[in-house]
Amino acid sequence: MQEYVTNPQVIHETIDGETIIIDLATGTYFSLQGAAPAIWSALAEGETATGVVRRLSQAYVAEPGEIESAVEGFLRELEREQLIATGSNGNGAGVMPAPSGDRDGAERSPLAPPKLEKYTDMQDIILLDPVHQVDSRGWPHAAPAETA
Amino acid sequence: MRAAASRASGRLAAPGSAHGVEGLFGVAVARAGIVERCYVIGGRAVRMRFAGPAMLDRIGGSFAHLEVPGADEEGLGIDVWDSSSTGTPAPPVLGVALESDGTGPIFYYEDDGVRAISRWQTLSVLDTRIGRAWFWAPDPAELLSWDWASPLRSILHWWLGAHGILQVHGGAVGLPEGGVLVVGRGGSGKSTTTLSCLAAGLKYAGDDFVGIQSRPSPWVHSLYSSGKLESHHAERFRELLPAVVNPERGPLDKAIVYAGRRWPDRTTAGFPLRAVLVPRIAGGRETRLVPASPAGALAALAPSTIFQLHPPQENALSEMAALVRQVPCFSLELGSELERIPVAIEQLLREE
Repeated sequence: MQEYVTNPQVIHETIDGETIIIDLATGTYFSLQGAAPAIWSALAEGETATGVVRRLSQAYVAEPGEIESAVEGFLRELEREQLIATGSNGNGAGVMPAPSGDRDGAERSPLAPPKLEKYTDMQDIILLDPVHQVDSRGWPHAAPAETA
Repeated sequence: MRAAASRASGRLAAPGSAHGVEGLFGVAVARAGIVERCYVIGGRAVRMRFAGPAMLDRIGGSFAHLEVPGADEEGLGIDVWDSSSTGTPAPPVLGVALESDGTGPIFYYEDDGVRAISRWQTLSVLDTRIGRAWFWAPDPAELLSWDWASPLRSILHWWLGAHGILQVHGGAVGLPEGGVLVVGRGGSGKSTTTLSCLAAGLKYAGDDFVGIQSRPSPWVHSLYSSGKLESHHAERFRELLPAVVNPERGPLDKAIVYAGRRWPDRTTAGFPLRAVLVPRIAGGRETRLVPASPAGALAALAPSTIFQLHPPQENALSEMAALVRQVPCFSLELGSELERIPVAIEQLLREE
């Protein structure tokens, strides 16, 4: 039962089924769509990989194995982008109570493949910004020995 | 001025305030005299004291539309001076170097209610405990237009943030009863949109940085009445050219107009926010408004806001999300006939 932790350097907001994640360390930001916001939300709440699959199974209709495969692939993508890492999420064995069988009777929608779009234009802005071409030899310059 | 600045460089281990800068400002005032101006920014009184006229001449135009004769209460006092015109040494560098973004030396200090940032050869300090701030530059003539057209950004970012107003990267235009926030990265058509509205006589609240608040209802606060014209704007906005205050400028500088001085009736201190627009340069002649997702608008607004203002306000993303949840969001598909842009925006506002 694999546990994950989300990168503490990222902040996120979900609006109308779409999640925006901003990596404060790198300037990269991401848009999550389809089933991706549900996966991210479950991870942010401390859910294990198994728990994520369980949650999605309660929300989506899919062919056997389809949800497991989608979750597995998406978790790899999140790891590759360093948005999550394997590790203890502080919830003991990582067993978060799944939303109680309360979805019995609730309408499930067809699985929308999780989608992660990556944007790096903040780096472009930095490079294009004219202030960055300012001669940096002037003030302020701390002597190296005095710099903490 | 570079030589004078370099002599004073060095890190102050325990800035303990503003202490050093307060003394230096006093010396500058003793040599150059003092000029005071009062403004209402974000609905609060701000008294600026300038050591001599040089820095007032350089940055005052941006705040002209917010100036008031006097203030009974003072929410914030800002002391502004430069070394060149006052013959005073540069202040010490405060804080520690940030492992940052390759934009040149940046030092940041924060402790016990005092914040300071040394960046782009200027120093900004805010002491929130006493509502006092200081801004220093080596030489007003050496400031880039990009910086002096939207001055005191860090100080206003910190101070307004403490009062529930978030400074965001975006422009705002509209009508007295309500306006739109125009967001997007450079090159998306943000300035073209706001300048076309200024030229058409709509209310102008800014083209690059404005204040927003989501409670009790969405609101835009104007911070600067300056407008920045790219080289390609010169041909398209000929009626704005006589108002350019820096006709002779360096290759990195932009042409600046002060709407607050030239067209005071077209500026505003703020208005209720009715919609968020994300411009996009499209083909065709007409300008169209197409409904857009709030998340898309947030993606256009949040990253450039968060990465341009240090440190990001703790609740910045949630505050911007709260805003786009409350008002409709549109993609503004910009056509080639610029006079159609303000028409489309005014039509939207009259329908909302």
